[in-house]
Amino acid sequence: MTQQTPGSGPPPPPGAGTFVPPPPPPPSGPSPGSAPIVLLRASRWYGNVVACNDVTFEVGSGITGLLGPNGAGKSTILGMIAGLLPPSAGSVTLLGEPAWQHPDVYRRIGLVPERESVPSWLSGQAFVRYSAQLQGIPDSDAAAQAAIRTVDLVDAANRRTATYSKGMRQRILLAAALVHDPPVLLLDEPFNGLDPRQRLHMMTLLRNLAAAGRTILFSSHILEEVERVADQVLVIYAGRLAASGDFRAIRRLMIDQPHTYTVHSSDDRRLAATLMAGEAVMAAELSDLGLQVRTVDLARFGRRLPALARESGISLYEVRPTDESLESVFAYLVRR
Amino acid sequence: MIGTIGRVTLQALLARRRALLMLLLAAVPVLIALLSRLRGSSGDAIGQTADALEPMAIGMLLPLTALVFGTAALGAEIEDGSAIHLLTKPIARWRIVTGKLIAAVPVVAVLIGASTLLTGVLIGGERGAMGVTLAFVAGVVVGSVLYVTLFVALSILSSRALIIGLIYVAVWEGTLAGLFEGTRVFSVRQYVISIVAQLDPSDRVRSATTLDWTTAVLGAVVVFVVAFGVAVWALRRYQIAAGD
Repeated sequence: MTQQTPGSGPPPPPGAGTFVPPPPPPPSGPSPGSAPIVLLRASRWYGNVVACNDVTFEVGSGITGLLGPNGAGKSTILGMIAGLLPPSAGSVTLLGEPAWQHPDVYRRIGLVPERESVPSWLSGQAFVRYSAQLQGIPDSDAAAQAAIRTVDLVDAANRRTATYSKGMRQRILLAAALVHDPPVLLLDEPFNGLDPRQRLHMMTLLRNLAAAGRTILFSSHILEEVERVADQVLVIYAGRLAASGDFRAIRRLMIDQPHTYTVHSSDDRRLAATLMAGEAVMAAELSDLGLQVRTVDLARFGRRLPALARESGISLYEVRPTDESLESVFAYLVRR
Repeated sequence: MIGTIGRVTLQALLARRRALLMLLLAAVPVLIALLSRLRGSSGDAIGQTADALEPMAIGMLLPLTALVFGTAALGAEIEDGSAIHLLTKPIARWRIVTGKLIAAVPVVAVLIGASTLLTGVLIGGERGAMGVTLAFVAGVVVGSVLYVTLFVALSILSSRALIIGLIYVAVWEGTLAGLFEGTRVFSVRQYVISIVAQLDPSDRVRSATTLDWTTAVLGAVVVFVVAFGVAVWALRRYQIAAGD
């Protein structure tokens, strides 16, 4: 997977906002256009609202996580890749051709949409068989049964999907997406609404499917989900590609960002002076909310704060991250 | 492929409450005819049959039933989001539209055709009105094809297809086409009445319309071809909005 974001491009439409371009592309990687999924300066806007802005990346085999907060543009990107939406600018190709208005490409991809809208009057088996028939598979019954076995839903296959739990609906959608054995799988928030056991099962399933050589791209707004299942990650924030590459490198970037904590203690003023005398803290501010502390070395701060408080005879009542939302992490990555 | 889409669409159309409601609506003229028969029949049977079937079957039941099933055939899937499963399959869009039509057209034609036949038989079937009744049944079949194609196209073009369709049926066909002769050339109802008039052996329906047979047939063909083409074109360009 490579990330290439040219510095200059067509002027964004009104409402695009101001963005700092993400870091330059890594020096090595596959040649442009050779990967199953390629976005080249793709943008998509709805009137004055920009959902995806000048995004360039490639996705190769294995599992890639499309990570970003809600509303970041993940579904728009997946929609463009799956041919559900045309890009307003740039190009999006799937297996070498644009999916938009090319229904033949659906022979080689499987899509699990975010909205788990399964025809309620059909049984799970009938729904997957219907998908197989629409794919033109000769023995649709056998293909449906195999796909249902893969997602471990054999016992409930003959029940109407109206009686399924959210997790079961996600799995039957995955079975329908897998029924024609596609080399590329696109999943929009596949872990949404799943309980921990179902989530674990889905993760194992995706890893097994990737081990068989498939290209899997899934979106999520939960960092831990992506961390546990994806080999590569694409971080999307405000419609832009904020970072991409190996998950460990992205994770390091996220950990290295300055962290702000609110501390309540028996003597905030003295604690502030003590902390500033050391090296773990780069700034401290007293306010009505308590003591605001800013650090770039999270590990050292975690070790030193209780020790310094103990040495100074100060009681710690509360240590709370002030700005630890995923959005702030993504915003930080975009600024870098 | 078309048969598969048609079969599942038929299941969807018949599985929901709307099918029962439309069945009850289709039973209304039959019940009226039955009551009328129980009270005793006399007079001009052919005239009575034509006078009953034209407003009830052609004017009300046929367009309303076609509106409900035509907009539901694909529109319901678009509305609840399940159309994505159909649209992300390697199927030419004309096959999808055809699959929807082969499910919805027979539902409307059989339901309203049977209602028309029973109503006609009860009013004047034994008094020489079978010819005009069968002409109306044929008109219902032709009208089913035209209306359903029109409303399937409308359901792809707009999420308010039901309201727009209702305005077309009630205002354009029900009111304006009656007031201004010129607008009749753009009315499916007038095409159907002209076709019924042409098929009616008694010539009793002919006086009710001013649209000649050739214009009606030509208009019907144009409406079908244009509506089908627009449905395929709109489906090819149909965009599924993203969740974020």
